[in-house]
Amino acid sequence: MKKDNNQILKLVSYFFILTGISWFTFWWVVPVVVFIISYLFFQHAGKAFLLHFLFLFLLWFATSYIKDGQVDGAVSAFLASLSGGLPKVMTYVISGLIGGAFAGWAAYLGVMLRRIVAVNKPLR
Amino acid sequence: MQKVSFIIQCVLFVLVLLIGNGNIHPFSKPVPPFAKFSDPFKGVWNHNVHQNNINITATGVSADAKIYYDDRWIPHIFASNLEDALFLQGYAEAQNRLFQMDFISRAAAGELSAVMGAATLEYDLEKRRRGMKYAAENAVAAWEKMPQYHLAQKYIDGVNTYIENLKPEDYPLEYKLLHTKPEKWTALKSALVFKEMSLTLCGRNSDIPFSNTKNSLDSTLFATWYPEYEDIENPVVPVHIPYDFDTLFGTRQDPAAFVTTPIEKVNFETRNPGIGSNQWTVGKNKTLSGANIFCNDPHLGLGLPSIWFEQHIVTPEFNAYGVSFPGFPGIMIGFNEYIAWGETNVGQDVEDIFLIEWTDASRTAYLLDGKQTKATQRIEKIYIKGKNEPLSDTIPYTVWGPIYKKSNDTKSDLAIRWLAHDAPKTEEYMTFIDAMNCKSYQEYLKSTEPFTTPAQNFGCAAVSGDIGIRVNGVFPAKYNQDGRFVEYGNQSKNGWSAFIPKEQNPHVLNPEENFVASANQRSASKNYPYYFTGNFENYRNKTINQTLRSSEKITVDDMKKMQFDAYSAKAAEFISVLPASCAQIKGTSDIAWYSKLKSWNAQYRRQAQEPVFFELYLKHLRKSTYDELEILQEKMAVTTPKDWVLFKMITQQPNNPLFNIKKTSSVETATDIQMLSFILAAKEMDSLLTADPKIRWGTFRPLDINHLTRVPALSTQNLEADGCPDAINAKGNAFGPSWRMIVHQTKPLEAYGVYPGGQSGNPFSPYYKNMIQDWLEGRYHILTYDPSPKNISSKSISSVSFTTKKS
Repeated sequence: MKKDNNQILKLVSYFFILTGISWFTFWWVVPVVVFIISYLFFQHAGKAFLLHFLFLFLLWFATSYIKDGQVDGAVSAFLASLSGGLPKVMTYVISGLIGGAFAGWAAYLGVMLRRIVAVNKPLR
Repeated sequence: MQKVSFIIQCVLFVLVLLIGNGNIHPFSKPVPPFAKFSDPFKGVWNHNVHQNNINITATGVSADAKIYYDDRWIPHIFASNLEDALFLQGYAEAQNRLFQMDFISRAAAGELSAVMGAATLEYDLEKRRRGMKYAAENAVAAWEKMPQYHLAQKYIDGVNTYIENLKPEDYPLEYKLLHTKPEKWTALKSALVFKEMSLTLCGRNSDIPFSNTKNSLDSTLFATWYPEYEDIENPVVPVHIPYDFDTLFGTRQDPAAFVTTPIEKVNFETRNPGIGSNQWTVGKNKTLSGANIFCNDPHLGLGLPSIWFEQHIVTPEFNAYGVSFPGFPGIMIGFNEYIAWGETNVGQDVEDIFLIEWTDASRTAYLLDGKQTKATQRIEKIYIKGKNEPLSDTIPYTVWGPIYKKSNDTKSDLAIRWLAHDAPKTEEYMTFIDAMNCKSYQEYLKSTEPFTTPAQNFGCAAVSGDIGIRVNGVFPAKYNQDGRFVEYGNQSKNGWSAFIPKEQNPHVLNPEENFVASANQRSASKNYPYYFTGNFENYRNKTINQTLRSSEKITVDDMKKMQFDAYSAKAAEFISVLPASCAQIKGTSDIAWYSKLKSWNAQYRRQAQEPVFFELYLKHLRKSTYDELEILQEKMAVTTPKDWVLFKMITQQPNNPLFNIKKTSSVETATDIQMLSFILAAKEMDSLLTADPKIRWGTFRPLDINHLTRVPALSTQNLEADGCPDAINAKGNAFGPSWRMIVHQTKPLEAYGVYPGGQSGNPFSPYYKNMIQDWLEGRYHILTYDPSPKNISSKSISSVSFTTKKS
């Protein structure tokens, strides 16, 4: 039970750091960091992909939604109009998918590399 | 195998990442880098709208200064001297309109393709061939030697201070869309912004169509169809004002200078006939309050962000309020506690076309006064987004100016002689800076003295009581149709021989009528000894003059109604002479259009159907009458007579051969043409009503206020609006009153204004287009010019504080 809590705490801290990186650096730094972390600490490619995809999807989706709300939906309305009449919610979804896809893909590649160089270091 | 798969995936991943970040451009069109753009932290979602109070430490200010933004996002600039005020003005304009300024300067220079891609290449080439950048370079070279240039530089420093403090994540949306970044602001960019205004107001002449028309018609017919003066003159400077000049300048041109052969069909732009302005001042003896009321509404292309930027500037020397043209210092239309000032376009032709005769196909030398003269070759490099190598275009420059249009035969080309190419001899950039500090009409005259081009009717009303309009700018001294037609460029004597001295420019001060008015009609009467030619306005000015002449005890509310007046004198005129036989024509919809038109008040209101019918009628009337010209138009560019001439012929020469339709065996008269046009209009109206039973003026001719990039998602389109080009409320498809201002010079004075847009250039800001609805409904905002920073700050919603940094 304690070990599980520790794992969750580490994961939350990791995601917290990824959020900070997203906030203060360039968007492409996140996939780079994810690649390195996945290489070092993740063993299952599918899990790594899903975890990072979901987190970045939610982060980009939620941040878009919140920032859009600050201007009464003007950004999503603009993007919806630009894309030929997509529903506004789809603009958040697309944003989330882009963020999630890069992170998930980077995580998957990190684990792939780990397998190739046969380094097997568990997440601590 | 796993390794290979990994490497392939890695390569693919990096490739997608680089595309997503904009490092690789796989598309020919300028599309934003999808990942960088979608990033919610620094991309499109990071809109930078709710700016909090900002503190700037800058070397550009000599003492603490502040910008307060009020609840309409109007900057109130408080500075301890003029230099600092201009620095803050530059900062505020960049803070709100950076992309607009950058885009307009790029558009003027012919450098849009560098950010927009190949789609704007033709546009860029046109600007290069017109010599826009050449004109701006000449201006800057002259400005730099002038004594007060440091003031213009202060404005530029303010713009650059904003740019330097701007983080990439806070770049305006358009930069993110186009994946580019702001460039450092320079005097050249300011000059380009000003030259773009010159192009709109005094470029794009009609020499080619006039030349072709003259050469294709019998001289009597040409004189009848294209008269230059109306029977009843209504110039800006009233007819009774004399012109007693001891000396006249310039020489009369030999009529042999005019080209007599047709000019081949070339693409060229003529001036948008709807571009113009109204300005009038009602003198104190004609108002209810006993104080002057000054009104100005320039009709320019409407866009988002708006062409104007509203602001209030206070220093210990002055307290000025008004609008500026972002990218250029000073206030162009505004007021202070002593005077109100504004402009309308003069429209005098200061751009002439000369036919150049090359000595050979290389286009390197041409004939001038019987000698071979070398053309200067200017190489224009056009960078195109997505292409590594720029495109080069070599443009020969002659004694007249650049070769604007190359013909196919390589023997001759068209060169352009445009006043805006000339280096200014006076400090033109000071005009709108000095205006802010004028305390009397006479001071205003002096402050506007350096203005060169585009020539404007400078209107001014002083609290002391003076009202007046001075036609101001540099004008070539012309006589007897000089410059109306294309001229031979092989004789230097065919060019401009002199310029009219400023003291001979038409001017009206405190006329007996107790009002002054200008609306792009002729500035001077026939009595003016120099030749004035251009595309002058014929109806709007009459409505203004008649309204003001017949009114007494005028109030601000009267002026608000007048600026919103959609009455078309042209429609009223043409309807008044409709033949009674038209009453029989009803069309399938069974609507009695004749009686509807006869009872219509000629107001172009958005919900009315009569303007739709009348416009259809007028279209068919012109088409049926000018069938002769239509035949010519297939071969070359020609021009059609003005509507006032058509009306005159209907009423005074109903049997003029112009009314005869060439295709028919019978001989038609004006009445026949009117009947035919009415039938055709009724038919077309039937079709329109079938498609939309609720068709009305607002939906028939809607108004589009487009974003600079023409992206519909950033524009406001299909607006239903009142007005038409002939009405005081001069609205077209994409132009209209771009700033309505009324200043009532009571103590304390009251001022009102509105424009169709918003202060912020940020499309996500609540201040991007918040004033459009008020403008559509004819509502105004009170212009707050309180000089007390304490009072202004108590109502401000944001501010920018500047403190001095020692360099």
